[in-house]
Amino acid sequence: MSAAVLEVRGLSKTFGGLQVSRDIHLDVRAGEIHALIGPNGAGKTTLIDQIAGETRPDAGEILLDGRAVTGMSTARRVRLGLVRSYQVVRLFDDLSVMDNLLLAAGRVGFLSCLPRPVFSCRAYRERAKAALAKHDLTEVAALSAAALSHGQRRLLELAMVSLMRPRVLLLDEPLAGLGPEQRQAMRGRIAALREQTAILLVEHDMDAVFALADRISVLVNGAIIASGDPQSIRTNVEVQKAYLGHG
Amino acid sequence: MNGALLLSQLINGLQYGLLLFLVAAGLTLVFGILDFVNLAHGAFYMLGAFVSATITAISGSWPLALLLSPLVVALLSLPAERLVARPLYGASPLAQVLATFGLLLVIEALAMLVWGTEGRGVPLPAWLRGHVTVFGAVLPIYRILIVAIGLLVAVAAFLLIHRTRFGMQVRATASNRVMAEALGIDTVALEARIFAFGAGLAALAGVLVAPLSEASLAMAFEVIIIAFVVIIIGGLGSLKGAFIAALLVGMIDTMGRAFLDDLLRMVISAEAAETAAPAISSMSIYLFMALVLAIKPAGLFPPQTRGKRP
Amino acid sequence: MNDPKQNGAAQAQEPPRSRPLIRRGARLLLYAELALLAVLLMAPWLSTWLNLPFWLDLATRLSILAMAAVSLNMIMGLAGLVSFGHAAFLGIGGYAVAIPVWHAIYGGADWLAGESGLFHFALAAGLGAGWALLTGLVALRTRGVHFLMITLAFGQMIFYLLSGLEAYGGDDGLTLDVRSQFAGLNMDDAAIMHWLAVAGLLLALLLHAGLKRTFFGLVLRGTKADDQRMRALGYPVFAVQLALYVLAGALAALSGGLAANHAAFVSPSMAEWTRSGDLLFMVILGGSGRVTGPLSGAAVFVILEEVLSSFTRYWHLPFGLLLIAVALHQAGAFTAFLAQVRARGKQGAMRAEADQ
Repeated sequence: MSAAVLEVRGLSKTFGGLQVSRDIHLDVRAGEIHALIGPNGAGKTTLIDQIAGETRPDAGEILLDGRAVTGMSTARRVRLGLVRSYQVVRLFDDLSVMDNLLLAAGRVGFLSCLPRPVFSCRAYRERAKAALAKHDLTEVAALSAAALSHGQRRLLELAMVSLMRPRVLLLDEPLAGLGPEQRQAMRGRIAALREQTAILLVEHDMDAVFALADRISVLVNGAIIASGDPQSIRTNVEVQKAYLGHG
Repeated sequence: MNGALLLSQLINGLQYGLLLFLVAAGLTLVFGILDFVNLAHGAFYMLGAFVSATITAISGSWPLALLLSPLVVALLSLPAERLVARPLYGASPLAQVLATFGLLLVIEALAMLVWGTEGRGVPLPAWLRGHVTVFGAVLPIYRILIVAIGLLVAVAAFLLIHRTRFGMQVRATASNRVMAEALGIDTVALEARIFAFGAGLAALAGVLVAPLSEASLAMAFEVIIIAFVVIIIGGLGSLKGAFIAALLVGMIDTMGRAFLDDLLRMVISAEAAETAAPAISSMSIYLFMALVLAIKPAGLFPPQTRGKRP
Repeated sequence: MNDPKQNGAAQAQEPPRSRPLIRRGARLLLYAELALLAVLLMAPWLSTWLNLPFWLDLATRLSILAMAAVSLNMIMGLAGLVSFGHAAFLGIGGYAVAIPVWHAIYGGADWLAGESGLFHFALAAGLGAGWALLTGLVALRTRGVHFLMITLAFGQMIFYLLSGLEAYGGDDGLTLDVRSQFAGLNMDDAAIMHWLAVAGLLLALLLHAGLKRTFFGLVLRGTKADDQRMRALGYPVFAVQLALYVLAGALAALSGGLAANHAAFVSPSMAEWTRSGDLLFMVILGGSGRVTGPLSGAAVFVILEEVLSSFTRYWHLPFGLLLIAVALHQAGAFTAFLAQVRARGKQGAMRAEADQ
């Protein structure tokens, strides 16, 4: 068993009387896809927000490669390799597809490139171009991100996060809003990412989750009620009750 | 430094702080409820002073001017609300400040047309010109009157916002405009009333100040920045914050001007203190603002629903 | 964010960038601005040829104001930061020239005294950058209207500081008995002074245009569009914006140093908040984010100020009305109003038809 890249210990968070995270323990190991499932409103996105640093937890610790990042800013976590995507795709709509990718690629050692014209940063440009090709976006490179279809926007976001050299990737519903064929393609791309990075995957598409995940944790009412390999989760009585009980 | 001097300076600071509150209250209400930054708010303060000068000159009665001027200015503010402010409620702050900066210049020019460039003094009735002695401190009756009126209006404003039906409608509109409309509140009329109410309060401050200095065109430009400092410190949109911040700013400014010179003498040479004191004391409230913001970027009492970063 | 209000203006969502006043004629406007730049370059010859020395003075003023406006345009256009305290930098730059000159002539403060232009402008840039750094550390923790008001208050702080400098004239300001000395340049020659101002303007324009093309510019555009997303990409948004703010502050202070040399006089009114409003007007009128925009903005402002104030002492009235019109246009209020009128007209027509 490989070591945990990301470790969450005893994370708790209360929003105005509502406890959205209850003493959550979770880890993601190198090379694995760890899926986080649960009914709507279980607190999945809030948990991602806390891990990414956009919301402060009330208690608990977050460790990246054994190093506490709990008090760090989002930007610092990202620089250490803790990268996220958003449930609702979040791109720079006014910028071109290429510029979006350049920003994602340029994060590493960006100081040396700052004073140079955008296109003289060859290392970035080459990586961005490679990502364009890999995600079938070359033809739309010059369009503004706002002009893309929803499927393309999802692809662009995936291309961006994969350019950021993540250690752990937090994917928040990467399949949401996609058609059946697009889903299939996206599943393949996520599976391929496994070689590059560990992944914490939040997803409602159970077919995809059971096909992709090495381990699954189930979050209900802010607490993890079960955690294990797909087979054990499938047969877990508690999980079945929770899903049936909450619709 | 003796007790009597300290007491009289305390009264001065309190008086200045309450006047600032009267100006800042309208500014912070309009920001909190209408989502509107009004650089022209100081113009209503100036108009209050000039209108009171005219009413006093015509009727010979200053108390009449005190009562009438805020009403007159509140009425005068309505066309400004309709034509300049209302189209920009909730618009970008940039458009708002640009438009109200323009409005300020327009009102200034119109005031210049009506009253000329010279300042207008406002004579007080004899019975307000006296002094009383309290604990050895000689206090002008008029300053005590200002403090009394200021406190009275502050209490009345709080009661109006927090205890009356009007206030309830105001708070409902502030928190959710669409819901308020669904409940049958005429939000357009309500917003105009809030705007005019704020203008009237600022005018009242102008009326009260005029006998101390005089009515002048520069008033509009001077007061507005200090009023902004007050509501930034207090938390944009908070009436309570504006009250506390206004008193703090009034005290700090007054005490700085009165005693900083002496305080500095203890540390540096008398000559250096004499040069440094005026410069530092004129900046003191800004330094205080910087200090507050360094610790609390949203001010002392940031309202829950407004003025917060997303 | 706050709840969107269902008002007339709300139909015009906050535009991603302010619209230039003339949208269809954008290309024409650019040519006009480039032509203006050419005229500014040749102004000393033109004014001699036409025998209008006063025009040269106006052209120099225009160049300096435009340079200051470019500095403001940089932070507005690149990072979306609307500052209402930019005039403070002009005041700082002006006094960074005037105070060393005063000491050079009247003695005292040997460490500060000097007539060297390089020293003056280095001091101006340094103090401008320092002030931007100090205030930026506080102001940049906020956004939007908070940032605007805080910069306004900080700007006024400089105004009061300068007014409180009794040793240097206080409210009345300070006359420069000599101008900054540059080897080989006669600064008392109006043409030399003018070309120096134009050089400053060109420097500012090139800096802005260059920045736009660098990776730094792209990062700034990202922070302007969505600062939280930029953080999620790992960028130190605060530091990036602070760097830009410091750069712009230094640039604006340089224009203040030029203004001091041009007028041979400084006063606290250089830093007055209404001056910040004037600069904002120039940027908006030219279209914020358009590199050459401040040229037309400053030209309109200078012409208005000169022409209107020579006609009437009430020139604030038409100027104020113009400001209101520009702001209402910028917020799309006119378009919204016209749409309303049209909708009402249609309703009326339909009702008329229904009545028949």
